[in-house]
Amino acid sequence: MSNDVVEIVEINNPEVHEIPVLKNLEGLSSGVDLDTVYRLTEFAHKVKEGLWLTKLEWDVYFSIDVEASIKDLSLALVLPASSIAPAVQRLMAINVLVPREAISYTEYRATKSQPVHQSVVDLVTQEEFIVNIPMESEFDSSDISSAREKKTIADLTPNKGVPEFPPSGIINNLRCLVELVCRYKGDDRRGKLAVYRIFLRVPREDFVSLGFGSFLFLNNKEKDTPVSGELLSRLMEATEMELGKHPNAIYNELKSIGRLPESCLTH
Amino acid sequence: MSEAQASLSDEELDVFVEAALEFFRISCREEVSVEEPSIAIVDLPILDYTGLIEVAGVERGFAYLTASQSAMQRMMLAMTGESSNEDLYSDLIGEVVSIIVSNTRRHFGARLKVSVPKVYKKGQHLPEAETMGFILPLTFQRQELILVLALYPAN
Repeated sequence: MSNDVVEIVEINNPEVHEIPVLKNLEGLSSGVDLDTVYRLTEFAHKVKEGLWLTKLEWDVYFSIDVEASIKDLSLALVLPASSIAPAVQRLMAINVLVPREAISYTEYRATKSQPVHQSVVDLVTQEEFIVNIPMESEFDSSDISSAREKKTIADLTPNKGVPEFPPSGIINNLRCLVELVCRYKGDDRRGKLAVYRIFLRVPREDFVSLGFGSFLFLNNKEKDTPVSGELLSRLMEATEMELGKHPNAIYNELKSIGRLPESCLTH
Repeated sequence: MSEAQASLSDEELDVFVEAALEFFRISCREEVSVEEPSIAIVDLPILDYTGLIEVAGVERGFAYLTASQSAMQRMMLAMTGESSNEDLYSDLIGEVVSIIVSNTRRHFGARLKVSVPKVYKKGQHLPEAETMGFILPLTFQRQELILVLALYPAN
């Protein structure tokens, strides 16, 4: 359905005879498409209890059963699309909603999993190497496959491919980054001042738009809120500028000496 | 960039904190407890009496020490042996900040220009912060003070 379709929804309110649900497109930014279908992320399900949203954003959240477009939401909530769109955009900014086509890293990995019956040719074409192949004379053929250690390209080039930070499964990504920096700088007040300098490199409005008024270094899980992927990326860039080292490198360094903070450990 | 133009490192920012702690050690002959800091993204905290310095040079912004009425009373008692004259609390917070300023001037020299202290009482408005603040709560004889840094690199 194209964007210029106009539908009028009537409700039984004597003072409001008609609500132009899709007619009122004023105020929509040019990038908004009424037909784009959105879905809730895995992240949204995990952190629902810790989210702080406006009533309209919660209405949108709960109206997306599996997936929905702005047009669907507009009809379901009996509100103009121009009201729905900002809520959808904010939910996207904090990583609660994504376009249907977007997939998480876990889902991406699932698309790469190997079927059991895969041939050797398939393995090679899918960029998987076989290393440490034992001498066949030392084993009978049935032992060879089990003795082979399979490595992917990402395994062989640890700093390329999928970034290690934040580690998969970490919900509170901001806490993880902050404590990583503090641990790297020595876990004292100077580490916290370094975090302050990193925050200063990101526009204050980026925090404010996500509802952040302050950040407590004291680990208070009830008050912690995960940040959007976009803000996290900016903070990671800022970390690299401030410390001269990317969080991936810091993560790997601390991991190698067994000094990762608790918030960066996956259980 | 030459060292003279470089903004302050996190270690150098700590000079402001150390200067404040030094004041209590020397002038009040007592340590203050340093509580867990936070970063204020929007609203900076303010208590009953505030001594503020504005900073220019390689950094811009301001730093201040703000104290509750009861903290001022305890500080006054520790420094002068009497605490009843509330009119002197404003002078005292200004004096505290002056000492912090002289310590920081000694450390940073020409890299930082620091204003004379300005004193604010509760209800008066501080200059609007152009940046986030590093909030360091302090406790002196179980009374509340807060050191606030709202500084950002000039370049």
